[in-house]
Amino acid sequence: MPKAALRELTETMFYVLMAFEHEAMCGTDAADFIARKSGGRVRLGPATLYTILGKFEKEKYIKEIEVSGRKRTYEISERGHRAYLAELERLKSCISDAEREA
Amino acid sequence: MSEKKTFYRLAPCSAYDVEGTESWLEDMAARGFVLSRDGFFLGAGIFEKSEPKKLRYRLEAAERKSTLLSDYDELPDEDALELSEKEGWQYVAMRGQFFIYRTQDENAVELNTDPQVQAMSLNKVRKNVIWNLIYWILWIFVLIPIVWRISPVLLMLELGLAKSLLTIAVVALTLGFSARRVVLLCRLRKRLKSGQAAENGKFRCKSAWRYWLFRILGAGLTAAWAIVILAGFLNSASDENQIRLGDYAGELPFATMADFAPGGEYKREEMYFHGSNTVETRSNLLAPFAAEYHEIAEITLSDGRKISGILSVGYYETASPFLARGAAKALCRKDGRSEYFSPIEADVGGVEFFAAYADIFPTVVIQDGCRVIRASFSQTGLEDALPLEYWAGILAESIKSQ
Repeated sequence: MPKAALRELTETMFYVLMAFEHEAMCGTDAADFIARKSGGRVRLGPATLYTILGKFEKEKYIKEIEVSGRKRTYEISERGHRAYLAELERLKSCISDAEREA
Repeated sequence: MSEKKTFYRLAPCSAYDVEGTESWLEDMAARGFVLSRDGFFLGAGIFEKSEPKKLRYRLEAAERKSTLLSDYDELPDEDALELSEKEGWQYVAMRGQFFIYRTQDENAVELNTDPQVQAMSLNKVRKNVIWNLIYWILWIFVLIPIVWRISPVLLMLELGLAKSLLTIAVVALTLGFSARRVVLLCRLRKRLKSGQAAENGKFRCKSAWRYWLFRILGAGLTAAWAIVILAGFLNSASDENQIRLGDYAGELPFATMADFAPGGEYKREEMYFHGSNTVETRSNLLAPFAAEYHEIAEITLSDGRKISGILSVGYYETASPFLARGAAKALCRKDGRSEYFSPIEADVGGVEFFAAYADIFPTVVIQDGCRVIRASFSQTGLEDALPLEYWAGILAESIKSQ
């Protein structure tokens, strides 16, 4: 069993979860998805992406479902899905607070 | 195909100085020295000569440890290699617990784009270096003294001032190197965790001379210490320094069995098993005179009683009373760990420290001024025996400072 969930997700971690929330994919596809989705604003360095994949796998946010040569495909887990939704809610409330303030 | 000529250059900073190593490798590339795939050997980088190049080098924490001789061990995971290659980064070699990547592509995305995630990647290495420091502290201050029953005071008296200082210097440098790694990694991790990106692109190893000085000093002192300790061990293991009591011309500064029978007779029993009827003396600045004395004899007291037995003495005349008192306490503590230890109620008076106990044989530790003696006297006669306070009193009287 993994320990307590990650206390907070950084922006890049959130985008990685978003990629796997979209569909199961490998690391390089996730990097492409994120670059596309953010309009090029968020670019993931290979070491950053690799560290996040390792951390998420350890935290059981994602699980490996296929290995083909050097390519490993992951899908999001229920735990990862819940973490993604919780972060999404937090971000939404940030936005709504900011909009009310504006 | 001709082999490229390689150049060895001593790294100007620790393998755990991530930004320092990156900057140094970039500086070397700008001067036409490109790190070879052989990486590092005994702290020196192996370079190939080329045109000056603008390369970016980045270090990434590895899960695996490097070997003792070579920092090159294994490749990163295939997944990591593929992700890096796709973004224009090539894996080169290992240094310490880090994989080294480089790119010539100015547009290549940074290897690490999220400082907080990079801080996370340092966790494993940081834990390793902290455990390494704890390991050294445990070995030096807990395990060696307890398991091998080494008392710092007794060790210092045996080693003398120069060897003691050398030992302290080696211990301090070992702990210093280990602590430095922890500091380097914790500082970097703290900065990264706060969201500050690693400092890349400017040469940071300006204090290289300090690093080299400590490296050379550390290697030199450790080698000297190993040679000195090994020579001392071989010397103590040989019987060459043992002098048979009959051949010893000096005067011993403590009482022996002959003194237990004033006005009586003394006869040494010449038994030739290891170390019997021998004395071994040593001298150094901390203990100007020290002796190990083993005697097997029979004495006849003036009243006709015959006492035979074995007297074993360890004696130190130290440079200060403080050292002598420390040695006396350490000797008692050392014997106190024996399963045969049991205290004996006795006192001889007139000395600064006295302890009596049985450690298989009746034993006393007496200290007065700069002199300390540990004597165990096993009486083998079946009929007569001297009371402990009698023979301990004679020993105490013999070492009294005034």
